[in-house]
Amino acid sequence: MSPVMRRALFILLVLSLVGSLAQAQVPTSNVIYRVLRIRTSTETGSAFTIEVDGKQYLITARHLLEGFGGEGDVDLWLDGRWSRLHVRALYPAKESVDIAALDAGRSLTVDFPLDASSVGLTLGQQVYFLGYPFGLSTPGAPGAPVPPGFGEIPFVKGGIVSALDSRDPEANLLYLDGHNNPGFSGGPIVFWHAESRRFRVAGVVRGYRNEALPVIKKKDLDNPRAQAHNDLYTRANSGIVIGYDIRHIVEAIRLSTRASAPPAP
Amino acid sequence: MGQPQAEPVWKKVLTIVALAATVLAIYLQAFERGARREEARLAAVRLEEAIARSRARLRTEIVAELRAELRRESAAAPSGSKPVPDTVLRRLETGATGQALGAFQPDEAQVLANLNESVESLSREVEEADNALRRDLEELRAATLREEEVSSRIMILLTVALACLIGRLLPSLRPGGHGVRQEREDGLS
Repeated sequence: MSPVMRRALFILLVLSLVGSLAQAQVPTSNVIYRVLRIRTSTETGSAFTIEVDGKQYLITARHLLEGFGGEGDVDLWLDGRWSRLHVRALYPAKESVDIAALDAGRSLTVDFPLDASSVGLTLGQQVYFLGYPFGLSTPGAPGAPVPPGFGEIPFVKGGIVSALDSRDPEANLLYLDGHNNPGFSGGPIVFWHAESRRFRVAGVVRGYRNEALPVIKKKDLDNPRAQAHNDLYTRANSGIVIGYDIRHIVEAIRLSTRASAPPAP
Repeated sequence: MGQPQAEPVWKKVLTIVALAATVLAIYLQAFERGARREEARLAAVRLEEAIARSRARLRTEIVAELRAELRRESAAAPSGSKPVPDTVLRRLETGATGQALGAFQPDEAQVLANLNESVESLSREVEEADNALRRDLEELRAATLREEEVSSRIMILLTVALACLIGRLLPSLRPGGHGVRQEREDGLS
């Protein structure tokens, strides 16, 4: 076989494979390198960055900032250690929306393209949520081109969009079928937007729905009507992940920007 | 004399011709069989060598080249400290670091994975073709053996025919043979 033919064979192979490529997408550097581990005075969780009108904000779950107020210090796991950061906090108008934006006055991560929008999110679609469950991660991944000053590569977990609750326009909820764990709070829910061929942030992880399971005796394991022994129950992860639509915090940021802008002459 | 003497000469000539033809046939048969055997042996050797060469080329050149291309593609991925947009993190196939992660374009990563699979598949297919070629070679050898067997039988029959012809010709060639005796008998009468 001549070198030309070998080359042709190789090209043919590549072309045939490219043609049969599955459209399975996994989160890219545009998502991964935006996720950071955050520690507040009350809790530890996850956070990520987005750009709104050209400025980068750190987004996290509001419940991690309990009693934080409008301004204060948070710790971010950067470059292998906790780094204290003074930030200004912005919240959506509705208090039940479990999202907050932190303005550090500078960029904290890469600014690779990542739209903050749930437009195009499809019921039943595969989505990913990223974060640091129990503080776990892919630490110091050898060979990975980690950005300077970045923390650790987050856990990537997945699920499908089970339900979209838009009854309250001020508090759109996303329900995912996935297994969430403590530590994911504040992490991004991302999906592949086929039209733009990019990932988008659809929402922010709030938590997961618990279900009460009765504590029963061993002999009652196969009895579906068995009552809780001594009225004892245990909490169990139902597998339903709850998140809020990212647009609430984007709107809050824009509102805040407009309010602080000097009046037009 | 005249008429009675012409028949033995005619018969003698025919017998000699038949004898010569049989000897020639035996010679040719023996020579051709040897030549065919040698040719088959050489063809088998050539085929074996060709198979060995093609296999060696496949392993050492084509597959190795495709793998090298794969490695080059992998190595071409950015592995420094500077991240690149739209890349996925993927565990590298080989490397000194063993468990290293590399950054790839998602499509590229998928192509590389599929291509690797295809190279394996191609290698398996060629191996199967190689085995089929070997089976053909064995069948060819079996056919050659069958031909040799038939040829041996022909040789035996020709040898028998030759022996018969010699047996028929020798008495007539002896000085006191049938022709001379006939002449004497003619002279006496």
